[in-house]
Amino acid sequence: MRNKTIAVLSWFTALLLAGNLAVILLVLPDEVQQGPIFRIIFFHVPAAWTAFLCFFGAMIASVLYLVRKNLRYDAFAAAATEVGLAFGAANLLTGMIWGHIIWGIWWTWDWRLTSMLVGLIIYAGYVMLRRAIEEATERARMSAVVSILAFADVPIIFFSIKWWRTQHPQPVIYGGGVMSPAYKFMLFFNWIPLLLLAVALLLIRMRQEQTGREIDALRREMHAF
Amino acid sequence: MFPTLIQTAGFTPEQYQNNFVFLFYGLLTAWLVLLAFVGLLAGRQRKLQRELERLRLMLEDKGPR
Repeated sequence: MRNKTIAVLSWFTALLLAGNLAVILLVLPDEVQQGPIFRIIFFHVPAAWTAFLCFFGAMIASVLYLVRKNLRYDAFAAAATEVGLAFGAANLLTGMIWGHIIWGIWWTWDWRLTSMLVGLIIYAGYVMLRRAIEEATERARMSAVVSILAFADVPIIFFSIKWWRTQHPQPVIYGGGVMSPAYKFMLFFNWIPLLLLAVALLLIRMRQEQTGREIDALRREMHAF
Repeated sequence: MFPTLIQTAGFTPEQYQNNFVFLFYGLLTAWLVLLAFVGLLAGRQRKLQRELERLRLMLEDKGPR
């Protein structure tokens, strides 16, 4: 059943992405000031939203694990964090490429960029921590605490461009900025395939956690002989 | 179509082309990152599956005794 869901999600995502890419490249006009590079926003911003949503999901699952001690929540948190890291990395790298053309530099220690980088490093630490602890419940407990603490960085990333003076463009969605309705529609519409892709990856990664638990159980059984 | 766009944006043809090339790099990078993650997942899946099969076979060997 899960295999079928993943296959359907993947095919639907691929079709939607192909259609969206055609519209983004061939139908939408260039932005007057920035030229073609502006189109990167249709992947850069939804990738960030997807990453934030994954980190939020991981934080909620971590709280639930600490309350209910059910390893399924831990599996969800681990899966969501890894998927969030992939989307976060895609966001940061596309931003750097955009910055190279628009700002003339690859990187600046701006609040938004720096807080995003710090967030990704903390979540990479979470992944490394999980690999370092063998015992499943101890691993789940420690990583749940790290996940909850790490989430503190997400609101800082999100609101940094409102709270501090930054080189990063001001928000066009929640900050009163202006964006053409056609661009805005595509920004949200292209989030759908990225979200579907994230769900498919999440399901695959969660199944791996389940397989990992099966392996642990079989190993215990082996030692019992 | 392109000359009109170049005039509108105030780019020289070289700047416009460079802008477009970096858009391509940007999109390519985004998808390469996600593809690398998918590759990582696929590799891990194979490893887990092999380990699971190995343990099952070992248990089957030990089981009937």
